[in-house]
Amino acid sequence: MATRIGYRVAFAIGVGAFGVSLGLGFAQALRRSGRPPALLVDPLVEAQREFAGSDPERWIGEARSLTEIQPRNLGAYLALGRGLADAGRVDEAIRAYETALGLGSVPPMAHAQLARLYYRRGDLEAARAQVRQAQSRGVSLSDDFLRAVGLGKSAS
Amino acid sequence: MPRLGRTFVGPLFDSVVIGGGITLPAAAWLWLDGRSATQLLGLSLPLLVLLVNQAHFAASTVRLYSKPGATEAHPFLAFALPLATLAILSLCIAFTSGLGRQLWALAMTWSPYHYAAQAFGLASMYCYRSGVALGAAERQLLRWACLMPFFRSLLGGAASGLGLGWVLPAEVLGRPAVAQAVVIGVVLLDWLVFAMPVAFVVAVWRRRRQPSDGDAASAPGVPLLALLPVVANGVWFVVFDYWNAFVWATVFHGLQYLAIVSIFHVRERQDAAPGRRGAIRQLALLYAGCVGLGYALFQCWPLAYQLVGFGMVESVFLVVAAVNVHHFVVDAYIWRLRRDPNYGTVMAASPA
Repeated sequence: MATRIGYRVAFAIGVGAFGVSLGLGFAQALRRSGRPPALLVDPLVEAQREFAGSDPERWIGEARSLTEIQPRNLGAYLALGRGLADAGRVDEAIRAYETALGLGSVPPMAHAQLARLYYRRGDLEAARAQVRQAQSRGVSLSDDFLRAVGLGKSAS
Repeated sequence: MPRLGRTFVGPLFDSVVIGGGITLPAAAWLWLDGRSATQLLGLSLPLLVLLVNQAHFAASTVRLYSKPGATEAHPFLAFALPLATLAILSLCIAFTSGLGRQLWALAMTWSPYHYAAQAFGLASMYCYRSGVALGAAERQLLRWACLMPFFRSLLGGAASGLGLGWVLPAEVLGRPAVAQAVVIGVVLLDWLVFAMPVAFVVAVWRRRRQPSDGDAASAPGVPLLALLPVVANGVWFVVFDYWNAFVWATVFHGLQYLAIVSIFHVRERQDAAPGRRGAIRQLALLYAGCVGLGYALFQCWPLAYQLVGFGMVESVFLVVAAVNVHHFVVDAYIWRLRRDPNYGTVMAASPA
């Protein structure tokens, strides 16, 4: 009998809390957009769309959360690196890109982005290595940048 | 001559939807097309995910509370698990890097096992329904055949930190000998995914030929409908990379699941009160309930966590993981055949 009552109490609390959560969630969507919750599949894409321009720290926080939940998600580290780079946090951005590189093959553009970060930190040798990686995979970089890292026509 | 087996609805529906036969031409087309699931489905992906995938996750909960006698038979699942899920999810969202990542890895690693279990359940149902009484050794062989895609995903997901990658540190997986062993294991399992079902068919066929079985010569062989779900589940994990396999397997698994839930639900309702409500209406009510609950769980619930200050990413991903795990646990109990009313539905004489 006590078990039965315990189950019923647990059920009432669980369903009550769940119902309140749903109601709050629905209300939150109405308050934010004036519409019921939209269909969402990839929260990182949605977070980038919503926060990347308007609230860089929030966007960095969202990307960082994904690296915590999925610590071997290469794309999450690239997103974090991009967000940190846009916010001017060069050293942290480099660490995020380097972690992504350690996890597997990154898109060619990531090498170009990392090259620019190394250049901003003053590490020209590392920047040149990333430029070569990017170029070998078909990415074209501006002549100004190539000259700046010592790989442009006037430098050679 | 291979036979199809005894259907639930009809040859086409059972083969294409419940058996998962649709996955075979679809996999061939997708493989030739070469685009990822996201590229291919584009803007239709969220709607497809809601109508099939999220609805199927909700369907196990709908079935738990609508299946006659299920709440009394499984009081913990029915009455305590919702609160336990809520509490665990909240802790995982609060401690993302410690607990949240474990919940995510658990859900993603368990998923292929769940698909394997469903393939085993469907194959067993079609065998029983088609008059093939499986011996203990044959059941074991069928179970192992169904588990091969799961083992394949344990190795295939290692690089993403799932499966083997969840339990072994990256440094260990990165060692040349371990990396080589994983590659060899994947190749071996690619073969076993398809070789084991053949071994199962041969085992049943051999028993059928043995004179000690009395009327063995007239005993039926494995029906095609029992093989289809096993092969279809294997195809995804062999043909596609890890994440695309996840998307496609989940969509087609969901379709399969919704079909079988609908059959059981309608049949139970009609058995309880024949003629009171039409099957179409029962079906529509069930599906509306599944889509509605799916929408509430996956689209509304994460927003509540965002309202109290958590991020969008952890709220959405961890709600997805928690609902997955809840679904796997509930499913493990509500689809049992032995000493369960499910058995009566499986063995019912006529198609639904």
